[in-house]
Amino acid sequence: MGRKGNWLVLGLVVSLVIGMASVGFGATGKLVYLFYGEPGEADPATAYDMRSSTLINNVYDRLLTYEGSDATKFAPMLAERWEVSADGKTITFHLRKDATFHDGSALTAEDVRYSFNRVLTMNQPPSWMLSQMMNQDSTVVVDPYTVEIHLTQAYAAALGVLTHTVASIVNSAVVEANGGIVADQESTWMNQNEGGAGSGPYMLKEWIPAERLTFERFDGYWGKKAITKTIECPIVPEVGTRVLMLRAGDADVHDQFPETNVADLEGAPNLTILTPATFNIDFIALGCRGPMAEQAVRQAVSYAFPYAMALEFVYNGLAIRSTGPIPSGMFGYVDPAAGGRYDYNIVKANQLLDAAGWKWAGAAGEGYRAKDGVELGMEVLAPIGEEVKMQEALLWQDSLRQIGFNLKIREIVYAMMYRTVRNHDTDGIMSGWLPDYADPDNYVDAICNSGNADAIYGNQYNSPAMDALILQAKSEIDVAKRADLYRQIQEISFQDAPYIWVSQRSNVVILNNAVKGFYYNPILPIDFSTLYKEG
Amino acid sequence: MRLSTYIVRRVAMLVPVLLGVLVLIFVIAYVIPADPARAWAGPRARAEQVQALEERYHLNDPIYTQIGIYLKNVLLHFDLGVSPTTGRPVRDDLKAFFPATFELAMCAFFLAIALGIPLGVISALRRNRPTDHFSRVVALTGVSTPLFWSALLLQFLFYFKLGWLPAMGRSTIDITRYTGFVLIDSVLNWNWTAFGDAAIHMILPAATLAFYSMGYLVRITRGSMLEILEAEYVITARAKGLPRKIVIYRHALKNAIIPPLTVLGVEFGWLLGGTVLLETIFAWPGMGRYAAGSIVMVDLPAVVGYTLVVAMIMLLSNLVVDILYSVIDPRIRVGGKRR
Repeated sequence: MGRKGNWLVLGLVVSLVIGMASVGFGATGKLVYLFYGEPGEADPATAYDMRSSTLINNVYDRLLTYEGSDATKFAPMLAERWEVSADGKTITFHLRKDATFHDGSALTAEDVRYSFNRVLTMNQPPSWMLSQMMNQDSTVVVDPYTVEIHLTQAYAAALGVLTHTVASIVNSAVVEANGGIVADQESTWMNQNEGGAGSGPYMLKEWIPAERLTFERFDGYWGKKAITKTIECPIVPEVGTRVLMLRAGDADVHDQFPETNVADLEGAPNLTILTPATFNIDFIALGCRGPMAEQAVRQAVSYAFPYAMALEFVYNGLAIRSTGPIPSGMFGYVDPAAGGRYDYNIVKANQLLDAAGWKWAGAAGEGYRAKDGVELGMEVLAPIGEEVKMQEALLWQDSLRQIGFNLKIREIVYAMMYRTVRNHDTDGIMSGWLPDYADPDNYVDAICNSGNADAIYGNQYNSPAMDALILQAKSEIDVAKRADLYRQIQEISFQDAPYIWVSQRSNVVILNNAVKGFYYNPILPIDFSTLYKEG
Repeated sequence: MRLSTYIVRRVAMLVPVLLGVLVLIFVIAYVIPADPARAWAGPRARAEQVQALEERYHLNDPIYTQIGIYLKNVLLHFDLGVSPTTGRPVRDDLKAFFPATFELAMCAFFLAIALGIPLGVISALRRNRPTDHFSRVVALTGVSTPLFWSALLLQFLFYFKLGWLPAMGRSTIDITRYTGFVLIDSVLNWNWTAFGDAAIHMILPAATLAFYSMGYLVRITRGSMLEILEAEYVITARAKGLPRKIVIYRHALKNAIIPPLTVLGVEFGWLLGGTVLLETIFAWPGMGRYAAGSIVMVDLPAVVGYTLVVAMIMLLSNLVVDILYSVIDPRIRVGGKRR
C-alpha cells in the first residue's frame, strides 16, 4: 500500500475514533423519549393512533385540556374561559390574546373556525368525533377572540371531545400555503410536517421516517415554557433494544412499555417503574348467535373466565379488574355491589347451563354439552401479535372445558379480522377499547349501542332499552341524572352479558431516576413540557 | 452474441418479469379475505369514510382495472400511490428507506467478501490443519446461527457490556442528506465526525448481516478451491516449478472464484431481504421494516412498491453476476455458437 493509502486508512481510523467519542450516549441538555413505533401522521385532522397523539399533543394546542393528572376537571388552554348555554347546544369560547403560532402569527377565532371545518371537510378517520355534534355552520366567529360553537344537538361530552387532538387548532395560513384543504382527502404535507402550523410548547424540528423525531422548545409559547430544550425521540421497535437503552441510560422516558417485559427492567438501579391505571379496557365480545344467543349461556361463560388468574399471570399484576363498559375512575362508573359482577364460579356456570337444558354428551364433566343436536361452543378470534389476548383466550379455553363448552381459538391479523367480524364469520373476538375522550358515552355508544356493537364487534347485540338509555345519556345535561342513566346501562350490561369484562390495563412508564416533572393523565398523551433531567 | 446485445436483451427481459410480479401481487392482494379500507380507517370510522377509501384506492374495481390504473400512474407520472398507513407517497417512502437498506446490504456484502473469500482460500490451502479447522468452525457458526440471535448477542456485548458501539440507529449527527446514504452524505458534507458516527453505527448491523454470508462464502470458496488445487493443470503448473503464489492466485483462484461468484448474486438479494429482523433489532430505518409493517396493514401501494424495487434489484444483481462470469472466465461466452 502506498503512502496515499496509508493516509486514507489513518483518516478512516481517526473518523471512527471521533465517531465513537461523539456517539450520544445519554448526551446532556436534552431528554430522550422512546417511540416504540412510528407515528402515523402529524396532522390533527388525520392522525388516529397513540404515537401520533403524543406528537400532536406537544406541538398543537386545543381550546381546553384537563387539569394536570385529573381527567375529570377541564382546564383552560387556548380558551381562557367558556360558557355552555342552558340547553347545552351552544358553547362560547373566549380566546386568550397572547397565543401565537410557531411562525409568530397571532392565533385567532378565525383559525378555530378554519381548523374545525377543515376536519369536517377532510372527513378522515377521527373526524367522526366532531361530525357527531357539529357541521360546517356550527363554528361562528363572534369577534377575533370569541368563538361560538352551535352543536347540531346537545352532547354532554362535547367539552371532552374538544380536548382530543382532532380538535387541535392549526395555522390557517400555513395550511393554505401547503396545499390547503381538499374534501375527503388527507394532506400529505401536514401528515409529515409542522412548519409553523402549531402553537404548542414544542415545535417539530425534524422527522426522519422510521429513524427519529426531534422536538425543539417554542420560546414564544404563551403559557408556561417547556423546561427541556430538546426532546429527541428515536423510533425503536424492538423491545429488547429499548430495554438495553433504558438500562444503559441512553433513553430517559418510555411509556406504554409492554407488561410482559417489565421483569427485564426490575432491579435496574437507574430506573423507576410507574404503573398508573389507564382508561383502556380489555374484554371478550360474544357474538349473540347460535348457542350464544341464549343469555344463560353468555352468563355461564362469563362465570367461567378465570379473572384473578389472568390478572396475575397474563397481566403480571399490571391491570385491575374491569366490571363493565365504563372504566374505574371515569365519570359514570359504578362499583358493582356483591353479585353485580361475574366472578370465577364454575359451579354456578354449570348450574346455569343445566337449567338451560344443555346436556353433557356422556358422564358429567366429560366431553362437551349439547342441545337439540347442537354442540355447545364457539370460535373466538385472537389478533396476531397481541400476546396478552392469546394467553387470555388459552386460559379461558381451559376453564370452559369444565363446563362442557368447546372454545376454538383462531389467530388472525387485524386487517383480516374486520371483514371476518363484519360478515359474522366468527362468534367472538378478544378485543378492547382505547378511549378517544374521557366520557362514558365514548365507551357505551361504541360497545353497547346495537348498531355500533355489530359494526365494530359483529356481536349482533340488540337491546332497545340499552339503546334508548345511551341516547338519553348523550344529551342529558344534569350530571346526577346522567350518572344514574349510566348506572342503569351498566346493570343491563351485567344482565345481558354480551361481553366478558376482563381488565383495565396499566400504563407502564419507565423513567430514568434523573427525570423529574412527570405527571400522568389517563386520557392525555405524555406532556413533554414539564419533563427535565436533574444534574 | 455480443456482450452489449446480451445486456440489452437481459434488461428488456426485466419488463415482462416485473409485470409478472405486479400481476402476482395484485392477485394475492385480491384473493386474501382482508378488509384493507376498514383496517386503514380504524374501527370507529363511518361506513362512508370506509367507502371513500375504497373508492380512492379503487378497491372495489375489477383486478384488471386496478392493475391498469396502477400501471398508468407509474408509467406516466412515476407515481406509486400514497401509502394509507404512513400517509406519504410510496415513492417518497422508498426514497427514504431504500438507501438505508442498500447501504447496510452493501457494507455487509463487501465485509462478507473481504473476510469470506480469503478465509476460504486459506482454509483450502491449509487443509486439515488448525487454521482450516478454525475457519470451518467460524463458517459453520455463521451459517447455523439465527440472525436475530447473533444480532441480540452482539448488541448485548458491544453496546451494553462493553459500551463500544451504539445499540441502534444510523447516526446521531444532523447533516444535509443529499443521497440518503449517510456515509456518502457525510463525505459530501465534508463532515468527518458525522462519517465516523455513521460508520460506528454501521458496524454492528453490518457485521451481523455479513456473518451469515461470510460463513456460506467460506464453505463454497474452500470446496471450490480444493477441487481446483487437485486439477491436472494446477499439478502441472506446480511440476513446472512455478512459484507457489503464481500457482495459487493466477491459476487456481481465478478458476475457483466462479462458484462463489454465483452465490454472491443470490446472496446480495438475500442481504437486501434478510434485513427485516436486523432493521427491527437495530432500529435501522430501512425497507424491510417498512415492508413488514405494510404487509400487516394490507397496505397495497406500499407492498407493491417495495416488491417491485426488490425484484428489480434481484434481477439486476443476477445480471451483473452473469456479466462478471464472462469477464473473469473468457471461456464462458454468453450464448456463443458451438464450434
